[in-house]
Amino acid sequence: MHIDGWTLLLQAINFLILVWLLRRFLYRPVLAVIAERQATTERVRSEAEAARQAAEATRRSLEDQRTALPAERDRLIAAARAEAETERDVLLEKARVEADHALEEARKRLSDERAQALEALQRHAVDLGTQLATRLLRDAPAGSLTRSLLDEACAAVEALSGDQRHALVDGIDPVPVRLAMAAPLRESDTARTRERLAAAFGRPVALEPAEDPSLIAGVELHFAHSVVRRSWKQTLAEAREEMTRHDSARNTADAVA
Amino acid sequence: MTESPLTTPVVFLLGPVPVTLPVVVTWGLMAAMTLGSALAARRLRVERPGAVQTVLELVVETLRRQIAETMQTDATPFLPLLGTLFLYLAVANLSGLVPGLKAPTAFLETAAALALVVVLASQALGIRRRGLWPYLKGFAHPTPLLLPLNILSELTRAFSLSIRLFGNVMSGEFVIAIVLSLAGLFVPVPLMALEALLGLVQAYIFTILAAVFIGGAVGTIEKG
Repeated sequence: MHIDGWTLLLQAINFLILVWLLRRFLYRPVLAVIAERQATTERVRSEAEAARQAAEATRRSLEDQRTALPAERDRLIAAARAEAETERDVLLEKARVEADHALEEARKRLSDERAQALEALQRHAVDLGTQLATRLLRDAPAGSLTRSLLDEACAAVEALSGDQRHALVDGIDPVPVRLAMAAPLRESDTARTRERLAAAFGRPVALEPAEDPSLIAGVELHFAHSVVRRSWKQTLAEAREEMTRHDSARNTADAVA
Repeated sequence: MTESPLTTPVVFLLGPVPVTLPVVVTWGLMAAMTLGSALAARRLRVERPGAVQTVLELVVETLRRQIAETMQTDATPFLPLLGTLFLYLAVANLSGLVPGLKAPTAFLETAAALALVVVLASQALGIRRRGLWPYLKGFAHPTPLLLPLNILSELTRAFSLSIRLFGNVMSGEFVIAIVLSLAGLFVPVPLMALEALLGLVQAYIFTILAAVFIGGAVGTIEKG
């Protein structure tokens, strides 16, 4: 068996040349295409992965939003409830204030009405009392009482100062005085009265007697600008006025209290 | 067939250099493979590749994956050497089935040249990857006592590679020639089909063993 050294050497060189040739014409272009395709595939895969991750992120975001919806709803409901509670409290407070105000007004009005009713009642009672007293006094003999009260009236005129007396009358002579009396007096009483008044005024007096049963008892001296009253009618009127004033003050004090 | 299968016929002389039959056939195969590759890889496209491009990519990718699985590393740097080794061996082995041609691998010089290239390449790649001194120290692993045996192992690898390839291919062709001379035209056809299979298997075995040797030399796998 013989090995040809030249053949061995040439075949080794041939093989190395073939390695270079195939590397140049086969492996390099094919591997480049494969690498480029893998890069393209990887890029597409990366884009798909990015799109998938974006979709996943969107899905997660939507899921989070969907999960957060009940909480948001509860929060809104709670806020609405709180707002309604606050508004209700405000309305209740306002209604309470208005009710208190209305109640206060009603109480005041009731109190006023009660005071008015009471006052009317008292006035009515006073009127009744006055009428009763009037009826009782009218049945009593009024002659002596009227004379006594006529003396008081004359005394009252005499007690006035000069200026006050001049203020009662005009400068007409004789001084016109109308004498209203509850019961007819004697002529002597009338003359004496004329004399006392003439003395008081220092001038003659034209006395005009007139009967006025409404005076119950007593007289009224009507001057030009004023009247001097000394009668039970006047007394009862003053008493009724005083009682009415007194009751009104008491009712007002009760209402304030 | 009267000549011995162990002789290498000289086709012509190139000065003092005898150009033998396996060299001439190898040149033809080189030209065919280079031209075919250049034509096939002329219009490669990234999208919608054609049938030829698909076959090319399938072959290259399969070779790269097989080498990567064997060497347990990225096969791209070793693909030109080992891929070309497989393709050349496959084409060369199958060329013996073409009437009038004789497979270059049926000559001991071709098998020995390929084995020599593999052994030298493994040494060169091992030194380049690991450094001279660490690579040489590997021969004394696990104990310096095994240094002679390890060196002998490297030499016998080349010897076994070349003899295995040469023996299988040469014997197959020799048997087919004998049967053809005795039985007639169609009788050796099954043997030829078997020889085609054996040729591919031998190419695969040679390439895988080369990958194992180189992987052991560069340290990606355990040295066999």
